[in-house]
Amino acid sequence: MTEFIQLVLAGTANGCIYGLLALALVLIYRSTHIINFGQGEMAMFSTYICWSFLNAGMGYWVAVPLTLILAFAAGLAVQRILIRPVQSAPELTIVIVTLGLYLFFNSLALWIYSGVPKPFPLPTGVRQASWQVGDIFIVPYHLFIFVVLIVLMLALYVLFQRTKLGLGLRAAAAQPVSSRLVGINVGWMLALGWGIAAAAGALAGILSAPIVQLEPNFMATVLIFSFASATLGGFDSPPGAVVGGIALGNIVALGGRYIEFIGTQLDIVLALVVIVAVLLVRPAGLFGRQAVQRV
Amino acid sequence: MDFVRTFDYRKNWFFPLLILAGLIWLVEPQTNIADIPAVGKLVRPAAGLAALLSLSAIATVVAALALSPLLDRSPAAARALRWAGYALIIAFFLFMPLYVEKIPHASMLKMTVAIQFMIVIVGINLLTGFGGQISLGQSAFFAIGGYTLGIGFRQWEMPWGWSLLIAPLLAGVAGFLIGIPALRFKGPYLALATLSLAVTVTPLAKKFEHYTGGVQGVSMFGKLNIPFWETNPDRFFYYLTAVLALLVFVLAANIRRGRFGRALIAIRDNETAAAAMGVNVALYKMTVFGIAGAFAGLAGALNGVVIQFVSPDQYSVLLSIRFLVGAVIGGVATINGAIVGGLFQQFVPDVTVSINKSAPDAIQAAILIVFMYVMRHGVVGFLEQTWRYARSGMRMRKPAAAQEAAAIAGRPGEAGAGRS
Repeated sequence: MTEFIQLVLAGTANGCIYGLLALALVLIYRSTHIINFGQGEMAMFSTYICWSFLNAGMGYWVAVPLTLILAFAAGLAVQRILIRPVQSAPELTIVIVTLGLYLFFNSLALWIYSGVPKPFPLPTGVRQASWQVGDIFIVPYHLFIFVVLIVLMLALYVLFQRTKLGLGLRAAAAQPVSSRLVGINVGWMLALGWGIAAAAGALAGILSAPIVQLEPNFMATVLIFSFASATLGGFDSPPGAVVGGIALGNIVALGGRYIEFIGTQLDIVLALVVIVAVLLVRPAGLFGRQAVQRV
Repeated sequence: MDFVRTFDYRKNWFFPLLILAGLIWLVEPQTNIADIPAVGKLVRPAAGLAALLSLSAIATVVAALALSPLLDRSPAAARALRWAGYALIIAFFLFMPLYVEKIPHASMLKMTVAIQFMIVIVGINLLTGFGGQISLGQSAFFAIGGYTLGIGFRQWEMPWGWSLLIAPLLAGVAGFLIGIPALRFKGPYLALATLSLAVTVTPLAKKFEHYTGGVQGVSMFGKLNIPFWETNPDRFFYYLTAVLALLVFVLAANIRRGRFGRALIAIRDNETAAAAMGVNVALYKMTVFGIAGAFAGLAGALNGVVIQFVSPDQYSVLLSIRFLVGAVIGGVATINGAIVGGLFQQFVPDVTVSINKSAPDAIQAAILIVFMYVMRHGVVGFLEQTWRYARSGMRMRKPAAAQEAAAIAGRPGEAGAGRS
């Protein structure tokens, strides 16, 4: 039982990271119906930027917000410069452009920072040693991830539901044509959505870097897990993405331990199984709305 | 003078591009451009590629204008022209050993691998270009091919020739079965599902160490007997690959031209309408997945035979992406685009790797994105458009609404196109 709880705690922490990146995917998908295959690599590159800041002697609490702002600006720029011209192009074109982003950021990171894994520090103020409660060890950093996720969710909730900007963002996503008619700048709303998503993705990268080491491919598996999370939660539901992420984190942690065949090597197979199973049984995911297509 | 007055630079951008590229090519040795870090050394090859592209576009225009009177008079001339084109391509590959040393960065082995890429890419063209199904999982079928050879060799000392038969069968069946869940997915979701398929290959191959040899893979150096040309195995494998590739291309061209290809295009353009017309959408989709899988499996087995080595890390997701990039660069809704795509995939990385180990992928990504804006139909698709444009008297025509709506490289009125 102790082991089970221990696994659930670790799985939830990892799941929060999957949820964060899934949230980024969902924010983009909801407004533009694009699945951004480059999301993970953009996050990876942002994490490297953050590492550079830290390496230059900047404090954690300065470097991280600065990186997030930069990631936001980069996401905005990517949408305005690269995505907007193909926004109305066939799906394959958009998929290929986002795959181009994947390939580009992946090889650029390898080019600039080399493939040698780099250690990433824990946030200042979060201690390394675990707390012991009975037989269970609680890792402070896991708790930290969880708190960050909750805070971010609250902030996004306030932004989307309680501000005029959020109303514009939601309107532009739901009814682009009507929104334009009532004076919302839909183009910029979509770009803002990409910016927010890029920042959320960067946060996922920064949070996961201390757990696994920082190397150019470290977000590739996380991206697959986030795809599975977003599919599980529903590609058009932000809370669904986070719940799906936490669920998937636990599926991976428990599956890796209790299904002998899976072990630690084949955890990615679980993601594949989840994706295929969800798409076959309930394509809209747990919290998504069933898409109805007009012929 | 009429020609000059009506000359439209938006449509004929390849003329100025040629001049620009030529100027850069000539001036570059006298300047310090090559000393610019990272990108400096790229300027000259890039200018060369741009010049090559615009030259072929201009050659297409000139040929179309010159041959127009003849082509207008007799339909047989168009057919003869097409066969002459095929004969040229076949002759180029047939006599390869005579001049391969003169082509920079080329060798028999590299040309062989390039042709193997073409085989995979033809499959992608059928699946994605004509069928409209995005697949990032082709590296998985490529891996099935490689491991059919590897496991056969390791476990049962199976002669490698058998793997060329068994691999396409296994990969084809696998593709057909993958087609079943794929029926439920559309567009980006399909890309997503097939991407996760590709990701699972490497860990799976490492897991079944007992059969696959795990991380070390299966090494077959010097243990694959060849029936003749023992002293020159490179040449033997080159011709083996080339003959099989020719078969694959003929098969693909016939598939595209026939009932099957028309059904595929109908499904791509409007699935509901195709179903209403009586096309068995599910069966066609599964079959085209099977065909693309079989091609990739054949190429994978051939690749294993040529490299004489099979290991899990060869079959990463990046390989899948590279296949797709090759298909897109060549022209995803063309058959011949695969030739350009395969050569591109073999030679552009080879030239750019001298800059940095990861430069090839970065440059490919940049080229890929640029292509999506300026040449969405790939090189061959672009040349076909240019041909049609020149044949219609160098006039800009408003593309029909259907043309815009068609998938990445919809080819309306293709019966009238001179070359395919």
